[in-house]
Amino acid sequence: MSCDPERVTGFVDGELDPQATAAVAAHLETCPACRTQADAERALRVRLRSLPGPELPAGLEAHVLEAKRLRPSALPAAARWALPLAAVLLLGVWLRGNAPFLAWDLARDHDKCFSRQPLPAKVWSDEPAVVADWFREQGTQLPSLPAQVGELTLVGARYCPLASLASAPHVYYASSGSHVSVFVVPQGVRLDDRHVSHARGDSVRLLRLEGEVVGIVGEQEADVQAFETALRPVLAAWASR
Amino acid sequence: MDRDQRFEAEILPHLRSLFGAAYRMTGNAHDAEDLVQETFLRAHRALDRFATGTNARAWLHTILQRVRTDAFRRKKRRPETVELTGEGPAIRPAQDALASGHEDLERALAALPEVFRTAVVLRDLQELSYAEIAAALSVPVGTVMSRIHRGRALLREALTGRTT
Repeated sequence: MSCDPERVTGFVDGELDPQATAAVAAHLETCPACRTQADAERALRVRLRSLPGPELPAGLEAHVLEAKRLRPSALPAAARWALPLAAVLLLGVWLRGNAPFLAWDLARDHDKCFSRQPLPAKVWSDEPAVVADWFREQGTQLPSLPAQVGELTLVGARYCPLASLASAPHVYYASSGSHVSVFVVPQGVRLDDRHVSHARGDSVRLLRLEGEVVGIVGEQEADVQAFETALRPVLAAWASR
Repeated sequence: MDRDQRFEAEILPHLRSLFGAAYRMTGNAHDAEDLVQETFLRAHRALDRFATGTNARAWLHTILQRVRTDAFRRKKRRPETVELTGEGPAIRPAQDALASGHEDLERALAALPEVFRTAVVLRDLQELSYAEIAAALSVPVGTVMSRIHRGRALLREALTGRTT
């Protein structure tokens, strides 16, 4: 047999059939280069296996358990599903349109994103036009957002997965001491005009204008209030476009 | 044993291991967390299709790859064409890795092209068989062997600083 480096890899992994295994074993006896490869791959495998894994994010396990309860699972035996399914669907529909639940969900995502170092933005810019262009490329039209409100300046954005919605555009603002998130909520929420609440220690506003809902989350009530004041005219112009 | 008990007994114990693999595949903890969360949700929904006694980790990786493919398809691009830079922060070694002299290996692994890195992670970190990797990635076994070979060769090159 002549040198076949890929088969040496298969040999090291014990993945060849008996005949090929014997052929490579015989070849290794006579070929220093392939022997070096095999030894190096074994040593590399040992090193890779000894790599320490990253720390599991706090709450990931709890979140998996919590989220699977919020979403209807595949149907088990036919006899058992009808009632629970109807209940889950009703709860799902109710939760989806439920403003306090959405407020909690947005606050959860705000905390999750801003607890990351660095922030998990997919587009980084302090220019609203750059952020808007990025979302437009992904197929989402955003209202024209401010570059700055008070001390808080635009940092970047991404789509965030939410428990109550598939995903929502999430725009980040930060100053030295605090953070504000602006979410554009793409689906129907039962909300007359505005919803004010506190969730997980954050202030949350949900604002509706002509069928569009925008969520604002921040640690400081005054920041959230300032954003509401700044966004009202923007949203009015956007809704009448 | 009901569905939730089965999920918690047979599937949930693999959370840490899957997160470790997803972290190395995506290069950052936030994307890895999203990926793993969606994977486990789908696993819970599809639990009836999992045969007890078979390799749960391999089954989870098949789902995880589908979640990735779906996510890439939504963004209208395939994993093979993903830029490894410019998309969020690059992989950052765990503090333990820095302390224990694994930094060069972490860096070399993070710098591998996506397809090779995925194959090496599934083989050498997740210890899946070639057949299991082939099933997870929907490619022939020969392609798996070739990608693992190429991935390891590139790692050796990066670690020794010479071409093989």
